[in-house]
Amino acid sequence: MNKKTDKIKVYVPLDTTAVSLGADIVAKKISKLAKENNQEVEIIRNGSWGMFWLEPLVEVEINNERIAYGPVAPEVVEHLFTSKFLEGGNHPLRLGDVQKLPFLQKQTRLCFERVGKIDPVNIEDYKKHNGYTVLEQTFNSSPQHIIEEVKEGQLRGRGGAAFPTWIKLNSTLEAQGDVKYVVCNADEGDSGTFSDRMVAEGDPFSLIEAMTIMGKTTGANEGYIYLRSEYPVAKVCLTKAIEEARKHNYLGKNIMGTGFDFDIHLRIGAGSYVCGEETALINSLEGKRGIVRKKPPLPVHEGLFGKPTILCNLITMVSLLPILRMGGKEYAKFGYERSRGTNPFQLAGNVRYSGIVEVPFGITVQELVTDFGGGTFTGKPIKNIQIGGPLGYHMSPSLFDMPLDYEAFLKIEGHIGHGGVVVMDDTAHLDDLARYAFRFCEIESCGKCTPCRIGSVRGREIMDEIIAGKDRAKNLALIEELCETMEFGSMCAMGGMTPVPVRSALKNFSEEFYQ
Amino acid sequence: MKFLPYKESKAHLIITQHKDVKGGLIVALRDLADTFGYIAPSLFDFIAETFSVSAVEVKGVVTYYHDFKTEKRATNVVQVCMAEACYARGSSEMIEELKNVLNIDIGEKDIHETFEIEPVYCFGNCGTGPTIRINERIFSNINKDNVRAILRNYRMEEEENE
Ligand SMILES: Cc1cc2nc3c(=O)[nH]c(=O)nc-3n(C[C@H](O)[C@H](O)[C@H](O)COP(=O)(O)O)c2cc1C
Ligand code: SF4
Ligand code: FES
Repeated sequence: MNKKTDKIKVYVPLDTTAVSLGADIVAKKISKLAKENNQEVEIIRNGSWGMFWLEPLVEVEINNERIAYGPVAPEVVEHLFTSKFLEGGNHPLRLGDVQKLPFLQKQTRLCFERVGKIDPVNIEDYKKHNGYTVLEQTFNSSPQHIIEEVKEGQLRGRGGAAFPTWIKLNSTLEAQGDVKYVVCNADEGDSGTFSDRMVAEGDPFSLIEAMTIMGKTTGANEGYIYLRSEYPVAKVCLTKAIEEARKHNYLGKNIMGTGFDFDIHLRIGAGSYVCGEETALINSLEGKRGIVRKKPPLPVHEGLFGKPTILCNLITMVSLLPILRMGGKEYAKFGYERSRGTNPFQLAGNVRYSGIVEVPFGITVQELVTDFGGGTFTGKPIKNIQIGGPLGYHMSPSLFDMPLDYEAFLKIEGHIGHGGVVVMDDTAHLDDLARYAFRFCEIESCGKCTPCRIGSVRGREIMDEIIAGKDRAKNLALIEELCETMEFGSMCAMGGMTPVPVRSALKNFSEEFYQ
Repeated sequence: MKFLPYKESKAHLIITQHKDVKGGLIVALRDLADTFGYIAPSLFDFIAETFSVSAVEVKGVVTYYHDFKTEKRATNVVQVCMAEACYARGSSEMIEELKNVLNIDIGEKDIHETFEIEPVYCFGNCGTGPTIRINERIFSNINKDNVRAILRNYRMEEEENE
């Protein structure tokens, strides 16, 4: 055994965004310079706290307190050593305790409870921070009781469709089948979103624990995680965590001596947006082309390999942990109208303070982008905010006082999607964005329905003409017609909701199209 | 038994490895793409045989997914995010410059096969874009002014980090 007690713990995130800003180089430099100074350090690669303007955010643990410095670009590491940062020394980048920063203080972190805090692939650290307590509880409880709590928590799917999760759990439990599956949708195809990624990188055991609970609840003994290929760091962390969980008998046969068997397979996608749609995802897992299936049958009755399958988004799954720990009633105290609980919103694009904001539903768009986001990164006024990924609604400033609530967005014919909030200033052109919506659909359409497959191409071509200033009035009328055809003639939201960004751009920014 | 060149035998080994995996066809294709960068059409028959499907079906699956290429890749694959959050931070200008510097369009390889540009729709790095990834390494805040330097330095930097 190596004695670790004298080593100074230094946290340097392994998070994709932190790494893209130099965190790997920073970690190497700290090791190297510490060695040269005869200081022993233990570098822990944690998840990100989700404050990207401070990344790479380095924390030093001194007397069980963590002192943060950020943003630590590779060039400033020497400087930090000169300022004796390993002893908590003063430096212009010193931030003190991260958890006291207003950006985090104002949040209600339930899904993100541990992200940033712990060593993501260390099961002991996970257990020290409430990990596996809910699973233990589950073993002493009945499936009906678990489902009842989820029902009281009023959890709705965070992948986009906002369907009550308890109904899916219940249907899978009641479905007849010798074999059942739990499938995690970690395809996170929506641009402007990264909450699945950050949990997978920063707290992968929470997903493993949640999936095990879902298995126990529904009678499934096998789980699959479908992770998009664009997330290599998440792949490493999930792989390692699954191995660790197996090693410690939290996965595999006879988990914790309870007689319950459960194991998880990690599958990596192959670059297809539609594979985030549940039936396409199932096809892909089965080794087929990722095209959308007709429903019914629903996955809960006939899902993966023809067996009853509970398929949920990653954030939906990890939301079970706070719900079951505090009780559904407590959890449902957070939120707004019929949108209960918290959601990790993702502040992206041209925003000064980008990152994760986990708060109860009901916060207004304005509060999110001003109180948390601090306005645009470029300092110009916000022109447009797109909510809910590539199929999301383009909002003009007059709508910014809307609450983030499923029903409120339905009313304007938009949706929250997976909670991505993309901020833009006046360099954004809504005609470009409307064209992009068709173009994206053209690239990603699975090809099953004509309105989606052909309509997207036609839409893009017409938008090209509009942008070139050709026959605007006639072409815009064609776009309206096309949107109607796509909305009603498409089998899934790919074709069916491409009109959302197009129509909202036309409606809220009409001056850009008619001039 | 036929003698196989090394690369082919390695590919066959990879394919065979996933034979008994449920839904193993995609897993095998993924593994091939990760190992070689592409899936040689000459392997389709062997893949088909291994997973008891027709070669046409294999081709159908391969061509469906954007990640599965059937041609050898350039030495450096520059993946560039085309999506909205990066657009919001000025990716359009950067992408124009990237195409100029490499003198190729999105989706193309240069004649020396040194660089290729691959479009990607979001890396989940949407708060600090515009984002590009060159081979294994991801970069934030890429703009029209720094993209040239990154490409030029790229190989040098890689060596330095070894
Ligand atoms: C084109 C398309 C893409 C989708 N992409 C995703 C995705 O990337 N991640 C996700 O969780 N759900 C995605 N969905 C929604 C899923 O079909 C499904 O509703 C969801 O995974 C169910 O989980 P939930 O109830 O936890 O939200 C997509 C749907 C469509 C139509
Ligand atoms: S709407 Fe488009 S993506 Fe969806 S099933 Fe039809 S063709 Fe496929
Ligand atoms: S939109 Fe470019 S990384 Fe997400």
